[in-house]
Amino acid sequence: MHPSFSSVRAAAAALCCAVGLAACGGGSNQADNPPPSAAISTFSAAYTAGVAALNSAAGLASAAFVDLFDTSFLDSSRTKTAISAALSAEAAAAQVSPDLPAFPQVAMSNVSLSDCAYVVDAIVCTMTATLTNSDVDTTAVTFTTKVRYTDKVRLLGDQSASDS
Amino acid sequence: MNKTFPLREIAAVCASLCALEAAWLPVGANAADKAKTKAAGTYVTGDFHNHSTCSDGSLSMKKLIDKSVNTWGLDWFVQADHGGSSARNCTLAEDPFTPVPPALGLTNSPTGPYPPATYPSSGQPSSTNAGPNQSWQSTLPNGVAGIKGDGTANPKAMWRWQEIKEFQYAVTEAESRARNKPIWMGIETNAPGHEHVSMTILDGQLPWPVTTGVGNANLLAQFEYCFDRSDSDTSRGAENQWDCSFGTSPTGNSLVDPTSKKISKTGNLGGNNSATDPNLGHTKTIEALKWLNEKAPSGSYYVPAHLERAGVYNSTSGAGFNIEHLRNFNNAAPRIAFGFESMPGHQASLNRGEYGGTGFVRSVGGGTYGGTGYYAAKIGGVWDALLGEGRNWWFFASSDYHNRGLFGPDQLESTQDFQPGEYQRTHVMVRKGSGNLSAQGVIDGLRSGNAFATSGQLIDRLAFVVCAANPGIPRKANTALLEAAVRNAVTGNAEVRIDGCATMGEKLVVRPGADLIVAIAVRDPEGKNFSPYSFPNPSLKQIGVTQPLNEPVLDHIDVLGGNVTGYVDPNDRGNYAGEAGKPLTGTAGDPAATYQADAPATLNTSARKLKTFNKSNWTASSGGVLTMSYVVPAVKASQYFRLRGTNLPPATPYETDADGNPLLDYLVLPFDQTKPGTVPCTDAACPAHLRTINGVKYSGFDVAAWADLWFYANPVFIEVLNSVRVAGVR
Repeated sequence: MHPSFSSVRAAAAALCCAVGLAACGGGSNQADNPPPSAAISTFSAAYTAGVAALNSAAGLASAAFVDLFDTSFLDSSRTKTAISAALSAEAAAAQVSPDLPAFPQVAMSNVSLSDCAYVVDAIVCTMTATLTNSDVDTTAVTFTTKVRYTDKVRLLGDQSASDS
Repeated sequence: MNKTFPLREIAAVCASLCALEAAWLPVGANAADKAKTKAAGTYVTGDFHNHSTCSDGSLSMKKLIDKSVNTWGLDWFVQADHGGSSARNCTLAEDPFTPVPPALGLTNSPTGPYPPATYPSSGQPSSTNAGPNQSWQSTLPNGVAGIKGDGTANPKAMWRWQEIKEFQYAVTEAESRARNKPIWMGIETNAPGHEHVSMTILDGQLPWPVTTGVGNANLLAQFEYCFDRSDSDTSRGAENQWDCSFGTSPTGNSLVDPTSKKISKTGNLGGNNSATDPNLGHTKTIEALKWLNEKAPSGSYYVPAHLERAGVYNSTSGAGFNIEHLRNFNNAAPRIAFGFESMPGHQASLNRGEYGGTGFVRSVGGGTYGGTGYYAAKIGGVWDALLGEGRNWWFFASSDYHNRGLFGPDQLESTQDFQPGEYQRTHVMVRKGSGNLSAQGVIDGLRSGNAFATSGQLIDRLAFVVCAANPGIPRKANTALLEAAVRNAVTGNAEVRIDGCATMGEKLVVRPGADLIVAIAVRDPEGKNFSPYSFPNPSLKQIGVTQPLNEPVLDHIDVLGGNVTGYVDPNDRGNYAGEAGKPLTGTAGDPAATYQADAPATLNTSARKLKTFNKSNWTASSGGVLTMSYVVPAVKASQYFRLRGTNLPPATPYETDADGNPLLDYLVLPFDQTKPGTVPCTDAACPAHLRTINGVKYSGFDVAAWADLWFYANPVFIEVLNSVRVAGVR
């Protein structure tokens, strides 16, 4: 079972102050609260729409979609730079081949955040969402990953340097 | 010997070969069909190569069909006797049809004492001159007068064309409709210049789900007359007056004999390779494929059977198949010649697969490897060389049932063959939509390559896809979604239908640098297989594993693959033609036997084992379903992925090497039963028919087959944009 947010908040604040980080901010609003619901809604809508748009060159080339990835993003060894490069390459390939992009299109739904904790200078939360194949096979899975809130919510990934 | 036009004929043969090889063109190819265009389908099991007493089998057609689709539960079946002629009437059934099966341990004997000690030979209860062993001549209303075409033997043999056209077809049509399963006629044709080929022509046949009207196998019968080298009849099919020349083959037509109206010569009526007519047989076989292309482009297939058995090709006598012949077949008729039976039948025989035995001591590779021929069992060998061209060349299995050796057909032991569906199965995707399973659907499925072959029911379901990774979603979510998709597909015995994923026999087009996700799910069926033995697997017992022989467990799956470098030009002889696995010295089972180095044309040096999955890295779920996946990062080259799996861990003595590759099944001369075997069978229940030296039994025959199980899955191709085109595959 996940700990309650209030206990995490207290622990995070204690940790920050113990290591003397200026960014702790003496119990600032960011540390005391999860991301504002508006920020969560904005991210959820943007990421859901962005994933859905990856079947088009415009969606693949969308700077707004790339901006949904945090600069510290790391997921199964993929960095934000790598994600951006992959999307650009897919966009370029889609211009020359009608069969591309080749990757399966998916629909994102039911995005929610939980287990938020103040880490260094931002709030890090666990994002839970449902991913559904948008083809004949409508298989769906629920997955989790990390997001980070500073000025807005962005994907942080599993922070794993391994691609396995 | 034909002395009239030898030079002209030789020139014609050469011209034919050159024309054939210069005219090759890969079939047009696009990416895999879109998911929404694929009708829903199911993997179904069947067998297209087994024999009745209309050739050299031991069962009637009815009993063979009953064993296939009733006893062993196959979903479809093709009755395929040899071409040529035979004297026995296979349309007569045994009486009683289904006797009480005897207990284990009874061998047959021509002299008795019959039960309880022995059982009648020739299969119980029919024996010589009973049931399907009676001759056509003695059972037709007008006797020998009803047997058409050439021949003077007594009893007179009936040509296979007549058997098919006038007698056998009606049995398959009736059996098919009565059993609500696709059952139809094919032939194991004696291919001119080569050994055997499993083939069919569905055109004209009306098996279930058709329930009205009367079909025919006339075109199949004509094919047999025209293109089987054992058919030396010159009657043109009696009243049929067939002419084997055809519209699109002026070269072949120039070789047609004016009397028989087929490619034949005086003293060489089958048109085989001979000293005076080198390569004539191969030319005739290519003409056969052109004929099929013209007459039955959708309703036929042409799949070389046990193709390593007869050794390497011989231009003056006819023998096996070299890689250039497989390439020629596929070039001539890519929609008809699309694969091989490199997992042969006869798996319970003394010399597994009948490879390396009497008459076949020069089998390619010296024998089978885990029950599979050298061409497919060797990583980087002939199959990988063909796949490395981007060819549509698929792997199939057959049972090739003739008899059970020392045992009768209703017994469970065997020292020769397994019955269709009992041990080996070809699983093929048949798209039915809301309709019924059909014979044409099966042929289309075989042609598609969406198929896998198994022995011993090691697995009974498989979903295997390679997908492009979605860069916009977390990788673990992506793999979890695809694992869920393959798991769902296996649960439903169906396939994954997702754009951006390709399955067996398909190709996926991706951009350079794309990441791939390989996702696999299998079902290792719970409970027992059809083995009659519950004592511990003697091969596994060597390494301290106690596992009942009739309850095999999948040990691991290897993902194999290689690069695609494009079709080889037939004029590039060094890379197009050559021998593989050719024995030089020694005989089967001789550990000191030597082999000629495999020709470069038979190799794909990029082929390798890419990944191994076992209980440490697959996820087991209820019902025996195992799911696994891995990521292939940043692909740059066009390539393919295929699978194999086994119940035997790597480094199982006499079975697998340290890398898990199957070892030659002939480590002891199979015909010298005075020498100890390799794998002892020490359980008290080990059967009496095993090799026994100084009181020690050794695994062999059916026990060795049940102990050593494999599956092979056909490849998934990846075509990288701006890289080599995978030309032969959609």
